[in-house]
Amino acid sequence: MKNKNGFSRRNFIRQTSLGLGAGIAGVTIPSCDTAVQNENSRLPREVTVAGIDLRGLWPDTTRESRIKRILQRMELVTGIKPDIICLPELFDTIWVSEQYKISEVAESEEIPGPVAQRIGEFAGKNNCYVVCPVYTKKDGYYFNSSLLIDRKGKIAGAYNKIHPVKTEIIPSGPTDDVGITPGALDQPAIETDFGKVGMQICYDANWIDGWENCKNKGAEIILFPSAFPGGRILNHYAERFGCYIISSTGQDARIIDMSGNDIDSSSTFVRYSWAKISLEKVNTCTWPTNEKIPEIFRKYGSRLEIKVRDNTSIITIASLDSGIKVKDIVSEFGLQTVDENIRSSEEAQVKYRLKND
Amino acid sequence: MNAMVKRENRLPREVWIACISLKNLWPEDKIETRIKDILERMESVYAYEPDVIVIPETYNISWVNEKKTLDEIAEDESNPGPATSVMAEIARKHNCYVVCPVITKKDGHFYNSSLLLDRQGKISGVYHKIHPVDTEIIPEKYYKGGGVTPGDLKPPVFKTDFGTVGMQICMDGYWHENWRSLWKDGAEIVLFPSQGPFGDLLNHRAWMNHYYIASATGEDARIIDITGDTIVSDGEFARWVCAPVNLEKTMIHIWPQVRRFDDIQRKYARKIRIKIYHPENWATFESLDPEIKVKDVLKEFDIPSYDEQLKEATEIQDKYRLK
Repeated sequence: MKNKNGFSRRNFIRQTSLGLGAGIAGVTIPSCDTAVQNENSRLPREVTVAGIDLRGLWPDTTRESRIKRILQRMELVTGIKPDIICLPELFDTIWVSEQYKISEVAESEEIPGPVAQRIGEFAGKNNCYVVCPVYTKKDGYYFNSSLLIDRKGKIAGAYNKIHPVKTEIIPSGPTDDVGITPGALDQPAIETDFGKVGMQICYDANWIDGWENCKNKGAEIILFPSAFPGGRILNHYAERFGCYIISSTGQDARIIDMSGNDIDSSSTFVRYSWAKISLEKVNTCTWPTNEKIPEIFRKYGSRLEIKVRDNTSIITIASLDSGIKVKDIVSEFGLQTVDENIRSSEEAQVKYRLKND
Repeated sequence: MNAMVKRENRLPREVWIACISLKNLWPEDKIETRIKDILERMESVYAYEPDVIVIPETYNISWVNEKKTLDEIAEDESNPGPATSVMAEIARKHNCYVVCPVITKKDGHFYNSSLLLDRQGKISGVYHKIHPVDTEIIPEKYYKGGGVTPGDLKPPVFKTDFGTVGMQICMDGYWHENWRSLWKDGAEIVLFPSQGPFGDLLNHRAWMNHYYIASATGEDARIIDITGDTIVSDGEFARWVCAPVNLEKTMIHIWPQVRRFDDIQRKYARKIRIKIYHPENWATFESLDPEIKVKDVLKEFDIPSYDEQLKEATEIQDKYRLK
């Protein structure tokens, strides 16, 4: 990036080196990893999130078996006292041998049906939200949905998959007695007691519109129940829209930071992922944040987590102190969030672009 | 580093791309020294007989102390000016295209531009940076003697003798629309001179639009595959890259096509390379035989391209979505 002050990038490198030298000499640059070691210390706007993957649970014989095994896997994360747990797409029916009809297993979007009720009991008992992806029925139409169950076990909101695959829409398999209707293009983000969340499901990953809509509706976390993992596609959406993404799929479960980097992922021996994330965090532009890091660090030290990542053109700043809001830091040091930077440059571009060029 | 392959031994659509990084060449005192340094760095790639060389954004003035007004440094967009002539000479001598990013002036307006020089050293294409930083635009904020005008919102593509290319510059990286427009117009490679490296964002632009990206920046130089994988990047011991890309390669969605992969591999064996990207549910098909075109193989096995598949799915979704 250009900088009106000349060669500050070089100066920055020099200053940062000094800063790192000081770190080695005894001043520790804080990291989120160390900050979350103490279970009793909560970050400002801290949310403990978890995703459960389906690996090793399919094929399964019956829906009952699947539900029980998922509940067992969910029990494994209760120790971390999650605020929200995400389950995989259509977790009670996907890759299950037992014959069922979609019309028979579809649940209500408002009053918990048999599956949502059992998940709701878990949510109530463990005081957490759960993303419960099941078939739903509304006004005679069937949807591939994600129900958001709240801490009391009630349905706080529903998302209907916008982009089902062709074979879901047009009945083609033995269980498909009805077709799935694609969800509305404009669906709301859902309010929780920790912030707004959005949801996307599986094949939705191939279209950007739903993700953009989540961001525009104010979602800070996007939950992604899916059959396929999504890979780098999800990392891109996280960075692009400055949201956390929690995925829960047939192969893996991941927590993705708003910088686009994985925070945690499930593994061969642990089939869930989890993290304490802070919503008091922002993506700022490399310039001029990089120049201000020594100054910010001198003043706020371990009360802020500043991550400079070589693989992105952004620097994330998170508050580790309940008395500090990141928007105040941005304002105090004249930083620009990525969104602000794009907006202000765009204003100048529109003003100065030739109309007939 | 890739073993050099003589031009006559390359696959029909094999393109060798070289990118030069500006790392450790700034700050610089004089424009003349900068040009000399870049030329010196470029010498490392000639042995590979590249088809195109990309050098960084405003390569002659970025982070150079010698400050001249925009009027003094701006070059013509039709006849090579001083900084362009130097690169035109390289293009002629080494029989390659060169992406030459300089400030240009047209009809009284200044642009942050990329000139595409052909193998004869002629200017065969001009791209104006669509999204300059606000400080570049506002007069006297960054440049002496004015500011640059943002380019037209629709970026052009250029036909070369090896394929269709587009260009983007630095902060353009943030705006998806320009990159998408290049895809719609058939770009196979996007050349990206820049000051900032833009990291993973470029990798994402590549897979989203299924084209190669070649970047030459203030920090690094990279060539990125159509899948978003970085094919090669520079480092401490070589501040340049040169590698081949095969334009006879395409990306598809694997489902349900994956069921036919074994048959294809049985028939074509080493002539077609299939690579599966499991987490993303993608696959690439690449022809390694001069006689075989990927599109013919896909047609033979009734496999849609990634974009065809999504287009069909979108149509069905829209048809069945409640009004």
